[in-house]
Amino acid sequence: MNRQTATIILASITILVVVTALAPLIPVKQQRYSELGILGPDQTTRGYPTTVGVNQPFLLYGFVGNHEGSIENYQMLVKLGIQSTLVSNSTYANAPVLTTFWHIVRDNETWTFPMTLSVNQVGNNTRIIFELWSYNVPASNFEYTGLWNQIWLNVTA
Amino acid sequence: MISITPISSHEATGGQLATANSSVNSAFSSVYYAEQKGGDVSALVEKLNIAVSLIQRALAENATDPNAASADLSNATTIAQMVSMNSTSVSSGGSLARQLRLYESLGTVAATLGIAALAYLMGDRVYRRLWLRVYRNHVVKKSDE
Repeated sequence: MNRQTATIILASITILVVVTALAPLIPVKQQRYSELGILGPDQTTRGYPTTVGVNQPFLLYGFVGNHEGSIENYQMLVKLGIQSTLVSNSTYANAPVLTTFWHIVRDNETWTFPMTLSVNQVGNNTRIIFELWSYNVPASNFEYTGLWNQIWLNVTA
Repeated sequence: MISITPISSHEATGGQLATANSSVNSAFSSVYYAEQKGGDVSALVEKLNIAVSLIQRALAENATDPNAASADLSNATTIAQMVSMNSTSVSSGGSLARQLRLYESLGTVAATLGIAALAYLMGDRVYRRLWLRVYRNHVVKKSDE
């Protein structure tokens, strides 16, 4: 091996070791987001109820994923809406809250939980609206994340 | 972002619920900052979720068993306060661990650069000396003798 080859090998090994040693100190930029999903009674995206009786319990599952880069304090609000209830990524529904589910989720973890719900009033095109809220630490309050979902129900007597 | 405090709308057990809620949220803030400083907050998050479950159970059982609901809220508050206290040590542990990792990385870089410089400057000499030591007993003979 001549001196030039030896120098190149030495420099390559040095660069490799230095980069490996410094890698954990370099912050990685990754996209930050939360996930919200509503699953049917068998924890898949099938079998959602379409017609239920008044006060008849039905089972759904909630799914929340945290990819925000830190722990998150989530609340999922379940609201009872009607056909005209407005809800969007920027506006939460102005509707009565049926129940709230609350959990603290670590980064890159998910939270799947059963929701046994019931509706106490008859109505066609009743909407069960699911909104995800998260706790804003500097502001010390829960904020609407803009993530929402819904199922449509006919509630019969 | 629009903000309200949704859980407060169910103030079935009044002030005790509000206290438990704010204790959990305050503990969450402490845990959040501990994590930001590099602390391992897994155990704290687990405990905090127990407190959250107790609050939710209290809300469910308030109508049928107010005493049990009250006990659950009290336990939730205690757990949250303990989590807040423990998060201080987790936070300082995280800072220390982060600092150690920094020193470890910088030490590795310095050592690598030092060894590489030595190898570059003195590698030839060291190699020749080693070669001579290894082959000092060898005798060179003419191949046609």
